[in-house]
Order: sequence, then structure tokens, then C-alpha cells
Amino acid sequence: MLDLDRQCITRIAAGDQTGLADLYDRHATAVYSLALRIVKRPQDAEDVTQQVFTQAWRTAARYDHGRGVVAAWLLMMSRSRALDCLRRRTAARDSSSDDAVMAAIPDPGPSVEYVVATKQQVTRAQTALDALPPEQREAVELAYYGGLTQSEIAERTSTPLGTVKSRVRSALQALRAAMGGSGLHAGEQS
Amino acid sequence: MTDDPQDLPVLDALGRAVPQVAPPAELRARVLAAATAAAQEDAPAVVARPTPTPAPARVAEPDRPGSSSSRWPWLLAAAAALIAVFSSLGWVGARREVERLHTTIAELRTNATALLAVRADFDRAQSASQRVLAILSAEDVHYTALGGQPPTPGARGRVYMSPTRGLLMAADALPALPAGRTYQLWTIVAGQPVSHGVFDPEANGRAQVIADAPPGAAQAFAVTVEPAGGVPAPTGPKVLLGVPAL
Repeated sequence: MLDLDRQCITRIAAGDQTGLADLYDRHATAVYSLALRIVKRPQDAEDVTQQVFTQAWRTAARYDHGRGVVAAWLLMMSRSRALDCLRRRTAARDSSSDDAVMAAIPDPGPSVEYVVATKQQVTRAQTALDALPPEQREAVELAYYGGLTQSEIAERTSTPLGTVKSRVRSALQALRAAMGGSGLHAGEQS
Repeated sequence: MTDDPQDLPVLDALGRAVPQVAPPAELRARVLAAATAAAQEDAPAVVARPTPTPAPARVAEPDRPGSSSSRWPWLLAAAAALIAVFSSLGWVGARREVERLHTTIAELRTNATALLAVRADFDRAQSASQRVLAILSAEDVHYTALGGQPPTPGARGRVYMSPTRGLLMAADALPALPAGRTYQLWTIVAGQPVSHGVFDPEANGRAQVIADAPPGAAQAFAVTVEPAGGVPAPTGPKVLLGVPAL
């Protein structure tokens, strides 16, 4: 699986359009689904998907294979572009854009050993997400799918910042536990 | 939310823990066209070559609308100049503005390539229409009805053939074929089959093929079912057949 992705990247870097087509066929649904979850409007999700694969095509030659899993790279671009799109839509009323919103969740740098989550792990995360107390789940969803900082979440939900912080912390702990904690980093797939 | 590298799998899983929705089918072609068009504009390291497909004769090759892309560079240049101004002023917040302009440039590129794709579709359709008109209005055009054969008795077809302008075949009620199979149009000239290429009908069973006229007098027209990509000489069952009146 992973080798196929890397082959796609290598082919794209060599200017082979079929490499991009294969990459699209393998990951378009995941990229589009995440974008749709964030931007809600299908038209915008299509634009985000287009931007993600355009960026993949343009930057494949510089893709650092040591940086991790291709699918995770695409999803990260999808989330980041989708949040850009969301922010542009709300830019008119957004005066607090000086906050480095994206700093809420940093992109992993090249040195980070990134481990892809298997389908099973995703199901586990999904189940764990469903099992969170509603206020914790809301906080995580606003942070991840809404791109909000913890202060923005506090404001949005009329909750003290300290409470939001502890909710996010607890939610992450629960999710991490559900994902098998540090055992994930055994790197059986990397 | 978290900057603990340990949480990266959690973040990745959150990215996938969403309802999986397949994007619309037509997005694929748009994405591939836009991505490669964008790269051709500004990435010297990457040369995109569309892969050759087994030449369906369905539509005439469009003129590449290369000239339209020349309308965009000035917009990009203007945006780039603005970026330079903002950077040199060193305003507080200028960096954010630069990022926004970068996004604007990316959007303009995306829009430009989407427009080019639309324009290419339009050119293709227009070119096909002109060719159809030229064939149908040619002085030497001949009409031949094609009848459905035993495997598909309900299918019908029509061939308009002008030795000077080309050939138009239109068919109705062609059933969809299983994967790996395609329809192929033939003219029999001097007892030998001449291929006019492969085609697939629309969902409503209709199909059109526009092709060059065969080299010589047509003795018959036929549509057969062949392996995907087509074959040099017919091997599969005939689904449509017609013999021109003498």
C-alpha cells in the first residue's frame, strides 16, 4: 500500500500524469470527505480537493519520503486548505485573525516519524470520538474540523478557557488510549 | 489542540474519522487537467505528457486553446508586484497579507485552469458540430441505415458518409458493455475491414462517431463488440450492420 503511494509520488515527480491519476483514485475519497466535513459545501470541497492534488502534483518532486505517509500528507493538505477556505468565507466578520489559528495543530516537520493509522485504528478513533462526553467531543471537533484555537472555542461555547483546555486534554487522552497509546509508534507499517 | 508528536496518529485518525463520501465523478478529470495545467505554467522541472489513449474516433481533435492562457500572466504579475510592495514596506500584518495574496494567486490559477478546461470542452464540442454540419451538408453525402443484429435486435444506427468530408455514425439503444469490452465501428472496403475507432455509448444508449471517410467505396458498415482498446480486424459479434444502396 505505502509502496504504491511512494511509487505514485516518484512517477508524478517524473512528470507522469498517470501517477497523479492513480494517487487520485487511491485517496480522492478520503481527501474530499475530510474537506466536506470541514467546509460543508460540496462545491468548496471539490475546490479543496482540486487544490490538494494540484499541490501534490507541483510539490511531488520535492516530497521528502522520510517525512512520512503520503496519505497523511494529503489529509493534512486537505485539512489546511479546507480551513483556509472556511476562514476566507468568514473573513468579513473575523477580526481575530491575528491569532495564529493554524498553530493550534502544527504540521509535523520532516523529522517526525509519522505513523499512519490503519482502518482498524480509525474505527477505534471514531468509536472513541463517539464515546466522548458531548462537551469534550465538541471541543475536539471545533479544534480539528473547525480550526479554532482554544480561546476561540471558549468564546464560541461561552465556557471558561481553563475548562476548554481541560476538555481538550481529557479528550486527547481518551483518544490516545483508544488508539493504543505509544504502541502505535512501533511503526509496523512505516 | 496538541503539539505532542505522540498525538499525530490521533490527528491523522481524526482526519479519516469522517463520513466517507465519494467525490463527483467529473471532479477527477477536472483535477487532473487543473493540476497538470498549473504545473506546466510554472514548474520547469515537471513536464506533463498526457498519456496516449487508444484513439477513439468519436470527436475531432480540438484546437488547443494555448492563446487564452496568455491572458492570465499579467494578473499573476500584478499580484506578485503587490506582494513585493507589501514585503518591502514591512508593515505589521504584511506577512499575513502576503499569505492571502499567495492564496489569491493560487485561486486565480485554479480558476484559470478550470476556465481553460471549460474552453477546451467548448472548442471540442464546437469542432465536432462543425464537422457534423460539413458532413451532413456535403454534396456527396450518402445515407445508410444500420439494423440491429441478433445479439441486440433493438439497436439502430445511421451512417452519413461523404467521401470528401468524412463519416458520421449515430446509434441508439446500444446496451452498456461489461468492463474490458468496447464497441468498434468498421467500413468494409474491397472486402477488407477498415476501423473507424472504438466508442462507448452514453448511459441512454446513444452514441456518435465522427471519422474520416474510408479509402474507397464502402461495401458495408458494421459495429462489433471488441476487447477494450479495439482490434485491427473484427473478432467479436456484430451488433449493427448496414449495406449502402448502390
